Amino acid sequence: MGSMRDIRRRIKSVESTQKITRAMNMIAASRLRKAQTSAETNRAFTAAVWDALQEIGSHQVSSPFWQPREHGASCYVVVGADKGLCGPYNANILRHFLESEGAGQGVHVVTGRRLYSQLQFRGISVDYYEESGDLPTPDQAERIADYVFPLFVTGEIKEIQLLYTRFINVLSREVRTVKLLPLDEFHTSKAGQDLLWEPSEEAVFGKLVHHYVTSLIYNGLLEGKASELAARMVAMDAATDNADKMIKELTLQYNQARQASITQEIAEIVGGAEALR
Amino acid sequence: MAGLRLRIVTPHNELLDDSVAMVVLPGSEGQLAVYPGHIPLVTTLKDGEIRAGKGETEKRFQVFGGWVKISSQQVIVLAREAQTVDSKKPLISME
Repeated sequence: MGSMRDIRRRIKSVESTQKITRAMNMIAASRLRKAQTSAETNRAFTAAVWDALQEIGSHQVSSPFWQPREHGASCYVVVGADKGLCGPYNANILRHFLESEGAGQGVHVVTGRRLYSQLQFRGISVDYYEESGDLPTPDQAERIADYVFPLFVTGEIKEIQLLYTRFINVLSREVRTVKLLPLDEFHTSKAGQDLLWEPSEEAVFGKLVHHYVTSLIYNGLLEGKASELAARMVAMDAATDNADKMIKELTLQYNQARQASITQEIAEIVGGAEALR
Repeated sequence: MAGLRLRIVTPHNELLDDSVAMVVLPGSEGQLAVYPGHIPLVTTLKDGEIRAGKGETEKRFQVFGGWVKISSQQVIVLAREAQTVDSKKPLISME
């Protein structure tokens, strides 16, 4: 058992740590609400884009976007967090990425400072990096799409995969891999009726696919942010609880030490008085 | 008479999901009016105004880019940005 002063110092330090974790918990909780609603409202939009494209797919539109490709590298867009202290959030996405087929060879697009530095530490090159920021903006998604889309069009890469953490609820989330391009899984063989394009099929369809890629990336960013904040909230909640437990234990130790010293003092006084008699 | 289901969705919200009689859209090749039974059409939109007619009333929306998918019973507008136009407030100038 340490001295009283040591224990008191430890209690103080745990208390100040607890203050930080509690503040971080509350900040994450308040920001989570916003991130969660934007992620959930965005799902409707992404689903609508998805449905529309699927329907167009049944119209037998000829385009290289539908065809699977044999050669070329894979491109991974990985959504991570800027900061740690959010439980296993970053570790999970990193593990999933490292387990993915062809990871470490193709083109890597990464968001989040933390994930970026972890990849660099492992010696994996990052071709395009974007900070994760406070709340994802459509501009961010557009910049990423503008980077990866031409790579696919020129044939430099054979596919674009998006890795992000889907927000289910505060306590659960799952890492997902979504194939953005090509759209070979979309292509249904059912012959549809003719579809009119204005101004022309090539002009519109290219834009549609670009828009589709952008909206899926944006959705991934939003979901990732909501998951990150939820993970941080849970982690910081657990940390605050742990600090509470620690403070209780230390207070007990402190009181024992205090009592021991009082008892000892009394014994000394009694001993001294006894000796004088 | 079968109505036309009009949906206007943006990345931030679903602005409208309603049955309308007709809708006027700012297509990139010019304005187009859509009634129920329109042939399937896909086109991009330019910045402009969407007018949706329903009986005597008319709803107006301002869109900024995006695209629209028209089928015989449904018009779905996937806008980058859109807002309802309040008739009391002046429009943001397009020029």
